[in-house]
Amino acid sequence: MKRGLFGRLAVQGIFRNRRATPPYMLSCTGIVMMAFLMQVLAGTDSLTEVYGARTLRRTLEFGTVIIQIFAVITLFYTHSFVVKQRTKEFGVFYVLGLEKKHIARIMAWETILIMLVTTALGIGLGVVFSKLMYLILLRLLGTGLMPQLHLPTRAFVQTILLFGVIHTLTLLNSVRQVATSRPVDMLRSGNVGEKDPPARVWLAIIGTICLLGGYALSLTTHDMTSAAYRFFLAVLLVILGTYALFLAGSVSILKGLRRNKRFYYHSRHFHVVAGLIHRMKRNATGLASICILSTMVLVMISATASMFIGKEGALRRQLGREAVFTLIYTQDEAQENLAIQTIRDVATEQGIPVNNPITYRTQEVWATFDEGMTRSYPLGDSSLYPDDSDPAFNVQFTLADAEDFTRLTGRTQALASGEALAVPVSAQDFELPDTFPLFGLNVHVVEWLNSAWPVQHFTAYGSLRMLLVMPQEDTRALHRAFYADVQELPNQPVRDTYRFNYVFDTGDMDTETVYAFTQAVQSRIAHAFQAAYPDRPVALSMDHLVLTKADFNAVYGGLLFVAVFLGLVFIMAMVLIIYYKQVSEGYEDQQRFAILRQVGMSDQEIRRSIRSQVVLVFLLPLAVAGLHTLMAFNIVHYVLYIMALQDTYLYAWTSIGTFLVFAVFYLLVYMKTAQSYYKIVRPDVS
Amino acid sequence: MAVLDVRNLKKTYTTRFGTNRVEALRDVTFSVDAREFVAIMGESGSGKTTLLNILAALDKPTSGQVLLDGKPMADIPDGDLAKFRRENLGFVFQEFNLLDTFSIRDNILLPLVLAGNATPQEMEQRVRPLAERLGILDLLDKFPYEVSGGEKQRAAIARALIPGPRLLLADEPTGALDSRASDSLLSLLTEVNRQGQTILMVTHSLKAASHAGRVLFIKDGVIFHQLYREEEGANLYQRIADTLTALSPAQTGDTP
Repeated sequence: MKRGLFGRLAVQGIFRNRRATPPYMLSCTGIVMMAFLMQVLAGTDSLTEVYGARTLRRTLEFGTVIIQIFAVITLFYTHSFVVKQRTKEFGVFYVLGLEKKHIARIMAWETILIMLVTTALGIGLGVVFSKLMYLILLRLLGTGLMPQLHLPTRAFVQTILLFGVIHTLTLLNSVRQVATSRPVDMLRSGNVGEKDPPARVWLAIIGTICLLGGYALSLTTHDMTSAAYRFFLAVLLVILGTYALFLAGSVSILKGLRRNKRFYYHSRHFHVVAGLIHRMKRNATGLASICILSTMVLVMISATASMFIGKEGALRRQLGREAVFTLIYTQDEAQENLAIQTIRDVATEQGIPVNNPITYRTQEVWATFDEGMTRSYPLGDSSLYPDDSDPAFNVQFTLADAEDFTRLTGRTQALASGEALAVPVSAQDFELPDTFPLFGLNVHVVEWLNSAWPVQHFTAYGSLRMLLVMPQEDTRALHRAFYADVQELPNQPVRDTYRFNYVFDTGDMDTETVYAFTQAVQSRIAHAFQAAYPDRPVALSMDHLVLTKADFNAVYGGLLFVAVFLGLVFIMAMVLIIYYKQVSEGYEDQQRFAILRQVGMSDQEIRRSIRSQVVLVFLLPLAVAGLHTLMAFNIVHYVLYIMALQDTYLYAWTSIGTFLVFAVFYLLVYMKTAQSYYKIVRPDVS
Repeated sequence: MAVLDVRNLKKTYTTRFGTNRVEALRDVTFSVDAREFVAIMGESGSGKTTLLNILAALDKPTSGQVLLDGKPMADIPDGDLAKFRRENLGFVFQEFNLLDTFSIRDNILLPLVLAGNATPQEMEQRVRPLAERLGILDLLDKFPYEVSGGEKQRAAIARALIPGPRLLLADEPTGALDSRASDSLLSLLTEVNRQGQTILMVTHSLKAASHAGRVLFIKDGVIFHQLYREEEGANLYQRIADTLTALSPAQTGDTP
């Protein structure tokens, strides 16, 4: 009987607080669904056969962790709004003779109900949408396979456990709140006298320093090696600065305005300024959170979207032909022919066409440039490798034979020893001089080519690369000099070897076919060379446009997927915070506007005052988020360099586009939630 | 000449679907002369609040007229009502209704700032003597949460008086105060009235009403009796109590 009573009170409590509890339940359901979806995709074994899925899984697992952390913070935060709305009700219960432990029991019932309903609903919706998300993911991977989606049990268990813990924490927190408050305060909750917030000058100064420091870090970044760690430092500083300035800066500025009597004692400013001082005090953290969330969404989505859009461009920069086979440690033509023959055999067996094949020889050496001078990059001693903070630039040189250049381009270029044609591959602030020493040889660049060389197969991300076309004697000599320090083993000669490249087009094919082909080539080459040259091991490096594309899709597509997904969750949290702000402010302002009306403020003036306060409070985070994104532009575009995206304009346009879409969405949310505010403040108007 | 003239005021409330009609005011007629201190007494539900809302131009009568200085209030266009209220009427409420976001000074200045025709210096020149008269001069820079109920009500009176209103409307001004604060507030109102301010106060407190120069009794939407303060020595308090006992034997006058 008694048990039934508490249960009933709990159910009634949920329905009575139309403006507080249902939105909270809705957001619980949403977050459960998102967390569950992410766990399904990260944990499912359906993707194991799909090429590129392993890279993707790592990104998804990362996303899962972020969502879980975020779920804890968001639900904890929004739940405090709900409790605040309910305090008065609990006060009445207390006066009616319920003890605090009874109230705790009602809250426990309520929490259990909310948890059961939202978790079940969230997982249910997650199951419904998992198929859709899975298909989107397969599409991003560009795979030809269509494995059935298996829902991993772990995802169910983890989701239920996670939200069980979160709800337990929120319950404990609200029990603590009720246990420590006096019933009188509970009844009067919301009408407590407001202190004039202190102007915290020091906090404002520290915030300004942090923010300017973060901005400066971004704006003074000029190379990608330092971009990554500077980026995280800048993010940290900007977050700290934003919170400090929203907390202290806004109040300080407003108090300054209040001291300016001519400005303050004006019918348009008077109530607005005084109202804002108190609003900012109560809302500073919420507004700063909205601002940070908006910035994260903006930067994350514009960066990943531009990477995804720009990936074709990055691919084209990296590959000249579709299939690239490179035989490393080649010593003579017989080996070249064996390799070609083996690859052709496998291709014929598997029905892979070999179109427009070309061959050429290259050498790979690395050098370090330090103020115009080269240092060799000694292979044997890793302690001498320059680290990231070294101001020197590491350049990877691909040395190609002049004969091959002539043969492939039809262009005859007489090159004397030491002369070179150069193609800079990755642009950065570093510029190679026309003449520079390289392992004892004085290299003179006769001509800088834009893209004369038809073959560029550079697959690694971002490091500095340079193609030099030189006479064959030079390329061999440089290679020998580069490996001079290496203690060669009798059966591992490297000094006098070269790289033999066999590249051709195959036409479009799906990832799994290509992958099977490359795997077959790999093992057949290994067998063939083991049989023919047991004491002269070679290595084969393979690449195919389709595989690179799949890798790119797995990386960039995965990042975009996670970014959009997290973006949605962040936006959901933001909408929630904005909504609860509007509602709780509405209740606080209700009385205030009634008084103003009695004192002789017209409805029109009241509406104008409300609007200018509310608009200011809600546009501020958007404006600051826009500023943050603008300031982050420089550093983010260097971070994108690391990910091989060099199209700055693309990133700029994506950022602008993302901001506009976001701003429109933000304003829609604001207008929608402002309606509930107006309804509370002036039920008769609007 | 009468500052306020109320003629045959009638107010009928209908529920949303018109099924139920409630007559809050049936036929109320009275007038308040300049420099008068009038109290309207009545129980809860007698129509006091409705009457006050109509006088304050916050609500409109179903029929009848309210004239302020001989001008009918119904003639004022809706757009000018707020301005009219601000310039001609001062309000004091039971719950003080100070804004917690403003200091006491800014609360008092609110009507002047809204009127928008005084410089900050002029405002300061007007607020200081008024605050001194009401005994809250050293509280001007405090915030409402920092001062007592009686002090809040004085600030509210200062806010009502600062534009120099024709009529001060007070709605149960001592309702939220303890008896000592009530006494001193009522003497203050008497003092303000003696200096020339016309006051109309609505109350159900015997003690509050006994400070007035004239007491009107309202019941079931009509004024059914009035008492005048007579010359020195006459005990208005006792006479109000007697009236209440005589006219509504079922109820006793309330205790202050």
